[in-house]
Amino acid sequence: MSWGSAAEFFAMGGYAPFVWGSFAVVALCLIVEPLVVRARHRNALRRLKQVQRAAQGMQREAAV
Amino acid sequence: MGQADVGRLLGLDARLTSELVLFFLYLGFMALQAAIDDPRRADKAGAVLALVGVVNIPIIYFSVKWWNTLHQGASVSLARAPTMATIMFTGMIVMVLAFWMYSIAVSLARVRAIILERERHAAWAQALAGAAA
Repeated sequence: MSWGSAAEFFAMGGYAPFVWGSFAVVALCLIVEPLVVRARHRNALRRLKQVQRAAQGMQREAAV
Repeated sequence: MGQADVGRLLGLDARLTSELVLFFLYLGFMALQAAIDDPRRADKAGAVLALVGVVNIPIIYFSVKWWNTLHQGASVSLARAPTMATIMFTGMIVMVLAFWMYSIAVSLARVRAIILERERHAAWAQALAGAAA
């Protein structure tokens, strides 16, 4: 497979919407999914800290 | 118009059809897990469905051998040299490895988050949150 010019390359033999559309969808997924996973991990850590702070507060009240 | 033409028009390729079944299995798995409130029961029900769904994997793999539809037979095998152009073969192998590594990394990251969500009362999780604070 070879292309004579840059325009020919981007035209993908007339199938540009399919080819570049697929690339765009994959790129979007590869960007969005790690962000979603990272947000979930941070949420879990934040909830953990909230539980911990609440437990410490109760301990302090019990000590007073 | 013969049967093969009808198949081509409807896109009834053996490999594509068996992969469509796999897609429906994924949707069913996600729906089943989301439908059950108790996460442990949801996991058990999902695991049973996943075990049943694994049956589909060899069907997808052998679909191009068992049914003679439009899809080409295997171009790459361990037993003989690939029948593809070298540059295409190299590109394919690189991307296969890349996507494998990506999906393994994301799966492990998801498992970490799920463990942290479920074990939040465990001592090690408390210690982790304390260290991160």
